[in-house]
Amino acid sequence: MELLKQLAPDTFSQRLRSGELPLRIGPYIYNLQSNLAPVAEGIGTLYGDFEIAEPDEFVDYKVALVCNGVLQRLRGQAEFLFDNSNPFDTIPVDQAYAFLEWGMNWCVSLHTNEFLKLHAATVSRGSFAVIMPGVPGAGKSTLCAALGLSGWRILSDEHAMIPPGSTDVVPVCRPVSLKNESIQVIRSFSSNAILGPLSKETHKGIVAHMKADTHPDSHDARSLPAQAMIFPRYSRDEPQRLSRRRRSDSFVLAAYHSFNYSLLCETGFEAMKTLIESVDCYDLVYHDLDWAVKTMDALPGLQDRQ
Amino acid sequence: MMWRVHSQGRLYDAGEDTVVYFDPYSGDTHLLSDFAGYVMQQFDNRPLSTEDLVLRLSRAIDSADIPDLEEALTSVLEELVLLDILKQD
Repeated sequence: MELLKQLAPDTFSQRLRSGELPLRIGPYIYNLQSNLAPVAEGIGTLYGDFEIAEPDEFVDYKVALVCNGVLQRLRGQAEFLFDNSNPFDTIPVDQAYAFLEWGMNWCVSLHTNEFLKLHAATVSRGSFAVIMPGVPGAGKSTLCAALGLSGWRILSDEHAMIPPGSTDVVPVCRPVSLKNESIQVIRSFSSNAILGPLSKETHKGIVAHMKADTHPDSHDARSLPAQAMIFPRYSRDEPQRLSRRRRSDSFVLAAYHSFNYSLLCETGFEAMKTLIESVDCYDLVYHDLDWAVKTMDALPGLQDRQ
Repeated sequence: MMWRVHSQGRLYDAGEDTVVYFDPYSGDTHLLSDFAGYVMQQFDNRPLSTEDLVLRLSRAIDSADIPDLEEALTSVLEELVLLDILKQD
Protein backbone atom coordinates (compact mmCIF):
# COMPACT_ATOMS: atom_id res chain seq x y z
CA MET A 1 0.00 0.00 0.00
CA GLU A 2 1.48 3.30 -1.06
CA LEU A 3 0.41 6.61 0.42
CA LEU A 4 0.41 9.83 -1.53
CA LYS A 5 2.96 11.38 0.81
CA GLN A 6 5.39 8.58 -0.03
CA LEU A 7 5.69 9.75 -3.61
CA ALA A 8 8.74 11.83 -4.42
CA PRO A 9 7.69 15.46 -5.09
CA ASP A 10 8.57 15.22 -8.78
CA THR A 11 6.66 11.97 -9.17
CA PHE A 12 3.62 13.45 -7.39
CA SER A 13 3.71 16.51 -9.60
CA GLN A 14 4.13 14.49 -12.79
CA ARG A 15 1.36 12.02 -11.92
CA LEU A 16 -1.04 14.81 -10.95
CA ARG A 17 -0.38 16.69 -14.19
CA SER A 18 -0.86 13.59 -16.30
CA GLY A 19 -3.94 12.38 -14.44
CA GLU A 20 -2.44 9.23 -13.01
CA LEU A 21 -3.26 9.78 -9.38
CA PRO A 22 -6.03 7.41 -8.26
CA LEU A 23 -6.78 7.93 -4.56
CA ARG A 24 -8.85 5.63 -2.38
CA ILE A 25 -11.40 7.83 -0.60
CA GLY A 26 -13.93 5.90 1.43
CA PRO A 27 -15.64 3.37 -0.83
CA TYR A 28 -14.57 5.21 -3.98
CA ILE A 29 -11.53 5.80 -6.10
CA TYR A 30 -11.09 9.31 -7.42
CA ASN A 31 -8.54 9.84 -10.14
CA LEU A 32 -7.20 13.38 -9.88
CA GLN A 33 -5.59 15.58 -12.49
CA SER A 34 -4.43 19.17 -12.33
CA ASN A 35 -1.80 21.47 -13.76
CA LEU A 36 -2.48 24.19 -11.18
CA ALA A 37 -0.12 25.00 -8.33
CA PRO A 38 -2.83 25.71 -5.69
CA VAL A 39 -4.46 22.39 -6.43
CA ALA A 40 -1.17 20.51 -6.16
CA GLU A 41 -0.46 22.31 -2.89
CA GLY A 42 -3.87 21.47 -1.49
CA ILE A 43 -3.78 17.82 -2.48
CA GLY A 44 -0.24 17.46 -1.12
CA THR A 45 -1.24 19.05 2.18
CA LEU A 46 -4.62 17.44 2.71
CA TYR A 47 -4.44 14.03 1.03
CA GLY A 48 -0.91 12.93 1.98
CA ASP A 49 -2.18 10.04 4.10
CA PHE A 50 -4.55 8.71 1.47
CA GLU A 51 -3.75 5.46 -0.28
CA ILE A 52 -2.92 5.43 -3.96
CA ALA A 53 -5.04 2.77 -5.67
CA GLU A 54 -3.54 0.22 -8.00
CA PRO A 55 -3.48 1.22 -11.69
CA ASP A 56 -5.83 -1.60 -12.70
CA GLU A 57 -8.54 -0.73 -10.14
CA PHE A 58 -11.84 0.70 -11.31
CA VAL A 59 -11.97 4.46 -11.03
CA ASP A 60 -15.33 5.75 -9.81
CA TYR A 61 -14.73 9.43 -10.43
CA LYS A 62 -12.27 10.84 -12.90
CA VAL A 63 -11.93 14.52 -12.08
CA ALA A 64 -9.63 17.26 -13.27
CA LEU A 65 -9.12 20.91 -12.44
CA VAL A 66 -7.07 22.27 -15.28
CA CYS A 67 -6.14 25.40 -17.11
CA ASN A 68 -6.20 24.56 -20.82
CA GLY A 69 -5.07 26.68 -23.72
CA VAL A 70 -3.75 30.17 -24.11
CA LEU A 71 -7.04 31.97 -23.52
CA GLN A 72 -7.68 30.31 -20.19
CA ARG A 73 -4.12 31.02 -19.11
CA LEU A 74 -4.38 34.68 -20.09
CA ARG A 75 -7.70 35.04 -18.30
CA GLY A 76 -6.55 33.12 -15.23
CA GLN A 77 -9.41 30.68 -15.66
CA ALA A 78 -9.61 26.96 -15.04
CA GLU A 79 -12.22 24.30 -15.60
CA PHE A 80 -13.50 21.32 -13.68
CA LEU A 81 -13.75 18.18 -15.77
CA PHE A 82 -15.68 15.07 -14.88
CA ASP A 83 -15.03 12.13 -17.17
CA ASN A 84 -13.55 14.66 -19.60
CA SER A 85 -16.76 16.68 -19.79
CA ASN A 86 -17.21 20.15 -18.35
CA PRO A 87 -20.38 20.35 -16.25
CA PHE A 88 -19.69 23.84 -14.88
CA ASP A 89 -18.57 27.25 -16.05
CA THR A 90 -14.90 28.13 -15.85
CA ILE A 91 -13.67 29.50 -12.56
CA PRO A 92 -10.80 31.79 -11.52
CA VAL A 93 -7.57 29.90 -10.86
CA ASP A 94 -7.49 31.49 -7.39
CA GLN A 95 -10.60 29.49 -6.49
CA ALA A 96 -9.38 26.25 -8.01
CA TYR A 97 -8.74 24.30 -4.85
CA ALA A 98 -12.14 25.03 -3.30
CA PHE A 99 -13.76 24.17 -6.60
CA LEU A 100 -11.94 20.86 -6.80
CA GLU A 101 -13.32 19.90 -3.38
CA TRP A 102 -16.83 21.04 -4.31
CA GLY A 103 -16.57 19.12 -7.55
CA MET A 104 -15.55 16.02 -5.66
CA ASN A 105 -18.59 16.50 -3.42
CA TRP A 106 -20.76 16.92 -6.47
CA CYS A 107 -19.59 13.56 -7.82
CA VAL A 108 -21.01 11.78 -4.79
CA SER A 109 -24.06 14.02 -4.37
CA LEU A 110 -25.22 13.44 -7.91
CA HIS A 111 -24.12 9.98 -8.88
CA THR A 112 -24.30 7.66 -5.94
CA ASN A 113 -27.72 6.30 -5.19
CA GLU A 114 -26.98 2.94 -3.63
CA PHE A 115 -27.02 4.87 -0.34
CA LEU A 116 -29.50 7.17 1.31
CA LYS A 117 -27.41 10.34 1.30
CA LEU A 118 -27.88 13.18 3.73
CA HIS A 119 -26.18 16.55 3.51
CA ALA A 120 -24.52 16.11 6.86
CA ALA A 121 -21.26 16.09 8.69
CA THR A 122 -20.67 12.71 10.28
CA VAL A 123 -18.36 11.98 13.18
CA SER A 124 -17.74 9.08 15.52
CA ARG A 125 -16.53 8.28 19.00
CA GLY A 126 -15.60 4.71 19.71
CA SER A 127 -17.63 2.60 17.36
CA PHE A 128 -20.73 4.78 17.09
CA ALA A 129 -21.47 7.48 14.59
CA VAL A 130 -23.30 10.77 14.99
CA ILE A 131 -24.98 12.33 11.96
CA MET A 132 -25.20 16.13 11.87
CA PRO A 133 -27.38 17.39 9.02
CA GLY A 134 -27.53 21.08 8.33
CA VAL A 135 -28.06 23.71 5.70
CA PRO A 136 -24.96 25.64 4.56
CA GLY A 137 -24.06 28.13 7.26
CA ALA A 138 -25.62 26.15 10.10
CA GLY A 139 -22.20 25.58 11.61
CA LYS A 140 -21.91 21.87 10.99
CA SER A 141 -18.50 22.03 9.32
CA THR A 142 -17.04 24.24 12.04
CA LEU A 143 -18.33 21.88 14.69
CA CYS A 144 -17.13 18.88 12.68
CA ALA A 145 -13.65 20.39 12.43
CA ALA A 146 -13.55 21.16 16.16
CA LEU A 147 -14.63 17.63 17.00
CA GLY A 148 -11.96 16.26 14.66
CA LEU A 149 -9.41 18.32 16.57
CA SER A 150 -10.75 17.00 19.90
CA GLY A 151 -10.37 13.27 19.53
CA TRP A 152 -13.42 12.51 17.43
CA ARG A 153 -13.09 10.79 14.09
CA ILE A 154 -14.44 12.65 11.08
CA LEU A 155 -16.33 10.28 8.80
CA SER A 156 -17.40 13.00 6.40
CA ASP A 157 -17.91 16.74 6.33
CA GLU A 158 -20.51 16.56 3.61
CA HIS A 159 -22.27 13.23 3.21
CA ALA A 160 -23.88 10.77 5.59
CA MET A 161 -24.19 7.67 3.43
CA ILE A 162 -26.51 5.00 4.77
CA PRO A 163 -27.15 1.70 2.99
CA PRO A 164 -30.94 1.27 2.89
CA GLY A 165 -32.17 -1.16 5.50
CA SER A 166 -29.30 -0.48 7.84
CA THR A 167 -28.37 2.11 10.43
CA ASP A 168 -24.73 2.12 9.34
CA VAL A 169 -22.82 5.13 8.13
CA VAL A 170 -20.24 4.53 5.42
CA PRO A 171 -17.13 6.68 5.96
CA VAL A 172 -16.03 8.91 3.12
CA CYS A 173 -13.48 11.07 4.88
CA ARG A 174 -12.28 14.12 2.96
CA PRO A 175 -11.14 17.58 4.06
CA VAL A 176 -13.53 19.81 6.00
CA SER A 177 -14.68 22.94 4.22
CA LEU A 178 -14.32 26.06 6.34
CA LYS A 179 -15.70 29.39 5.29
CA ASN A 180 -15.00 33.00 6.25
CA GLU A 181 -14.92 33.52 10.06
CA SER A 182 -14.82 29.77 10.64
CA ILE A 183 -11.28 29.63 9.30
CA GLN A 184 -9.93 31.86 12.06
CA VAL A 185 -12.24 30.26 14.62
CA ILE A 186 -10.68 26.87 13.92
CA ARG A 187 -7.14 28.27 13.82
CA SER A 188 -7.77 29.75 17.26
CA PHE A 189 -9.44 26.58 18.50
CA SER A 190 -6.39 24.43 17.85
CA SER A 191 -2.90 24.94 16.56
CA ASN A 192 -3.07 21.37 15.24
CA ALA A 193 -5.45 22.30 12.45
CA ILE A 194 -3.80 21.69 9.07
CA LEU A 195 -5.30 23.93 6.44
CA GLY A 196 -4.93 23.89 2.69
CA PRO A 197 -4.75 26.90 0.37
CA LEU A 198 -7.15 29.81 0.78
CA SER A 199 -9.63 30.33 -2.02
CA LYS A 200 -10.81 33.95 -2.02
CA GLU A 201 -13.87 35.66 -3.43
CA THR A 202 -15.74 32.44 -4.09
CA HIS A 203 -19.54 32.51 -4.08
CA LYS A 204 -19.25 31.36 -0.46
CA GLY A 205 -16.61 33.93 0.44
CA ILE A 206 -13.17 32.87 1.62
CA VAL A 207 -12.78 29.11 1.81
CA ALA A 208 -10.09 26.87 3.27
CA HIS A 209 -10.14 23.12 3.77
CA MET A 210 -8.88 21.34 6.85
CA LYS A 211 -7.17 17.97 6.82
CA ALA A 212 -9.73 15.55 8.23
CA ASP A 213 -7.95 12.21 8.36
CA THR A 214 -5.96 12.76 11.53
CA HIS A 215 -7.60 10.06 13.64
CA PRO A 216 -5.84 6.67 13.82
CA ASP A 217 -8.92 5.02 12.24
CA SER A 218 -9.57 7.67 9.61
CA HIS A 219 -8.92 5.29 6.72
CA ASP A 220 -10.78 2.32 8.14
CA ALA A 221 -13.38 1.61 5.47
CA ARG A 222 -15.79 -0.25 7.75
CA SER A 223 -19.14 1.37 8.36
CA LEU A 224 -20.29 2.38 11.84
CA PRO A 225 -23.79 2.26 13.33
CA ALA A 226 -25.39 5.64 13.86
CA GLN A 227 -26.37 6.38 17.42
CA ALA A 228 -27.56 9.97 17.23
CA MET A 229 -28.75 12.54 14.77
CA ILE A 230 -27.97 16.09 15.78
CA PHE A 231 -29.12 19.20 13.99
CA PRO A 232 -26.47 21.81 14.85
CA ARG A 233 -27.15 25.50 14.53
CA TYR A 234 -24.73 28.29 15.25
CA SER A 235 -26.47 31.22 16.92
CA ARG A 236 -24.73 34.09 18.63
CA ASP A 237 -27.93 35.36 20.20
CA GLU A 238 -29.63 32.29 21.61
CA PRO A 239 -28.82 30.33 24.76
CA GLN A 240 -26.72 27.28 24.00
CA ARG A 241 -28.64 24.07 24.38
CA LEU A 242 -28.86 20.42 23.50
CA SER A 243 -32.50 19.42 23.36
CA ARG A 244 -34.31 16.30 22.26
CA ARG A 245 -36.24 16.38 19.02
CA ARG A 246 -39.25 14.33 18.11
CA ARG A 247 -38.48 11.53 15.69
CA SER A 248 -41.30 12.37 13.29
CA ASP A 249 -40.10 15.98 12.91
CA SER A 250 -36.54 14.78 12.58
CA PHE A 251 -37.57 12.34 9.86
CA VAL A 252 -39.02 15.13 7.75
CA LEU A 253 -36.11 17.49 8.40
CA ALA A 254 -33.55 14.79 7.58
CA ALA A 255 -35.46 14.04 4.36
CA TYR A 256 -35.21 17.73 3.53
CA HIS A 257 -31.44 17.49 4.02
CA SER A 258 -31.16 14.41 1.81
CA PHE A 259 -29.69 14.51 -1.68
CA ASN A 260 -31.70 11.54 -2.91
CA TYR A 261 -34.54 10.75 -0.49
CA SER A 262 -37.16 11.67 -3.09
CA LEU A 263 -35.34 9.89 -5.87
CA LEU A 264 -35.29 6.67 -3.86
CA CYS A 265 -39.10 6.85 -3.31
CA GLU A 266 -40.33 3.98 -1.09
CA THR A 267 -36.77 2.76 -0.59
CA GLY A 268 -35.86 6.22 0.70
CA PHE A 269 -38.83 6.29 3.07
CA GLU A 270 -38.03 2.85 4.46
CA ALA A 271 -34.31 3.67 4.74
CA MET A 272 -35.06 6.88 6.62
CA LYS A 273 -37.54 5.09 8.86
CA THR A 274 -34.98 2.42 9.76
CA LEU A 275 -32.41 5.10 10.50
CA ILE A 276 -34.62 7.43 12.52
CA GLU A 277 -36.02 4.57 14.61
CA SER A 278 -32.50 3.71 15.75
CA VAL A 279 -31.07 7.13 16.60
CA ASP A 280 -31.73 9.68 19.29
CA CYS A 281 -32.46 13.06 17.74
CA TYR A 282 -31.35 16.44 19.09
CA ASP A 283 -31.09 20.11 18.32
CA LEU A 284 -27.75 21.61 19.24
CA VAL A 285 -27.67 25.41 19.38
CA TYR A 286 -24.21 26.76 20.08
CA HIS A 287 -21.89 29.71 19.77
CA ASP A 288 -18.98 28.48 21.84
CA LEU A 289 -17.07 25.59 20.28
CA ASP A 290 -15.56 24.41 23.58
CA TRP A 291 -19.07 24.13 25.02
CA ALA A 292 -20.30 22.33 21.91
CA VAL A 293 -17.46 19.80 21.99
CA LYS A 294 -17.95 19.13 25.71
CA THR A 295 -21.67 18.69 25.12
CA MET A 296 -20.98 16.23 22.33
CA ASP A 297 -18.48 14.39 24.54
CA ALA A 298 -21.21 13.98 27.15
CA LEU A 299 -23.91 12.98 24.69
CA PRO A 300 -26.44 10.87 26.56
CA GLY A 301 -25.85 7.22 25.90
CA LEU A 302 -22.57 7.68 24.02
CA GLN A 303 -20.40 6.92 27.03
CA ASP A 304 -22.32 3.72 27.79
CA ARG A 305 -22.07 2.45 24.25
CA GLN A 306 -18.34 2.98 23.67
CA MET B 1 -69.73 10.95 0.40
CA MET B 2 -66.94 8.56 -0.61
CA TRP B 3 -63.22 8.98 -0.14
CA ARG B 4 -60.33 7.09 -1.66
CA VAL B 5 -56.54 7.25 -1.60
CA HIS B 6 -54.54 7.85 -4.78
CA SER B 7 -52.26 5.03 -3.73
CA GLN B 8 -51.67 3.14 -0.53
CA GLY B 9 -49.16 5.17 1.44
CA ARG B 10 -46.65 4.25 4.08
CA LEU B 11 -46.70 5.51 7.62
CA TYR B 12 -44.03 6.07 10.23
CA ASP B 13 -45.56 6.32 13.68
CA ALA B 14 -43.06 6.98 16.46
CA GLY B 15 -45.80 7.21 19.07
CA GLU B 16 -45.77 11.01 19.02
CA ASP B 17 -48.59 13.41 18.25
CA THR B 18 -47.44 13.59 14.64
CA VAL B 19 -46.73 10.84 12.11
CA VAL B 20 -44.85 10.74 8.82
CA TYR B 21 -46.82 9.70 5.75
CA PHE B 22 -45.25 8.82 2.41
CA ASP B 23 -47.51 9.03 -0.62
CA PRO B 24 -46.20 6.88 -3.50
CA TYR B 25 -48.62 8.62 -5.89
CA SER B 26 -46.87 11.99 -5.58
CA GLY B 27 -43.62 10.93 -3.96
CA ASP B 28 -44.29 13.51 -1.26
CA THR B 29 -43.68 12.99 2.44
CA HIS B 30 -46.05 14.66 4.87
CA LEU B 31 -45.98 15.35 8.58
CA LEU B 32 -49.54 14.66 9.72
CA SER B 33 -51.31 14.77 13.05
CA ASP B 34 -51.63 11.37 14.68
CA PHE B 35 -55.39 11.60 14.09
CA ALA B 36 -54.88 12.22 10.36
CA GLY B 37 -52.44 9.31 10.30
CA TYR B 38 -55.03 7.07 11.93
CA VAL B 39 -57.60 8.14 9.36
CA MET B 40 -55.19 7.23 6.56
CA GLN B 41 -54.62 3.83 8.09
CA GLN B 42 -58.29 3.02 7.61
CA PHE B 43 -57.93 2.99 3.85
CA ASP B 44 -56.76 -0.23 2.30
CA ASN B 45 -56.87 0.65 -1.38
CA ARG B 46 -60.65 0.79 -1.28
CA PRO B 47 -63.00 3.72 -0.91
CA LEU B 48 -64.69 4.52 2.36
CA SER B 49 -67.69 6.68 3.07
CA THR B 50 -67.74 9.35 5.75
CA GLU B 51 -70.15 7.14 7.69
CA ASP B 52 -67.73 4.16 7.44
CA LEU B 53 -64.96 6.31 8.79
CA VAL B 54 -67.03 7.73 11.65
CA LEU B 55 -68.03 4.22 12.63
CA ARG B 56 -64.48 2.88 12.54
CA LEU B 57 -63.06 5.84 14.41
CA SER B 58 -65.76 5.92 17.07
CA ARG B 59 -64.90 2.31 17.95
CA ALA B 60 -61.24 3.15 18.41
CA ILE B 61 -61.19 6.67 19.79
CA ASP B 62 -62.40 7.71 23.21
CA SER B 63 -65.02 10.41 22.90
CA ALA B 64 -63.30 12.25 25.71
CA ASP B 65 -60.27 12.70 23.46
CA ILE B 66 -62.24 14.01 20.49
CA PRO B 67 -65.71 15.14 21.61
CA ASP B 68 -67.01 16.01 18.14
CA LEU B 69 -65.55 13.20 16.07
CA GLU B 70 -67.50 13.96 12.92
CA GLU B 71 -66.43 17.58 12.87
CA ALA B 72 -62.80 16.65 13.51
CA LEU B 73 -62.96 14.02 10.77
CA THR B 74 -64.45 16.48 8.27
CA SER B 75 -61.65 18.92 8.98
CA VAL B 76 -58.97 16.26 8.57
CA LEU B 77 -60.50 14.91 5.36
CA GLU B 78 -60.48 18.41 3.88
CA GLU B 79 -56.85 18.79 4.88
CA LEU B 80 -55.92 15.45 3.29
CA VAL B 81 -57.69 16.39 0.06
CA LEU B 82 -55.80 19.68 -0.01
CA LEU B 83 -52.56 17.76 0.38
CA ASP B 84 -53.67 15.59 -2.54
CA ILE B 85 -53.38 12.45 -0.46
CA LEU B 86 -57.11 11.72 -0.60
CA LYS B 87 -59.64 12.33 -3.28
CA GLN B 88 -63.35 12.69 -2.96
CA ASP B 89 -65.60 10.63 -5.25
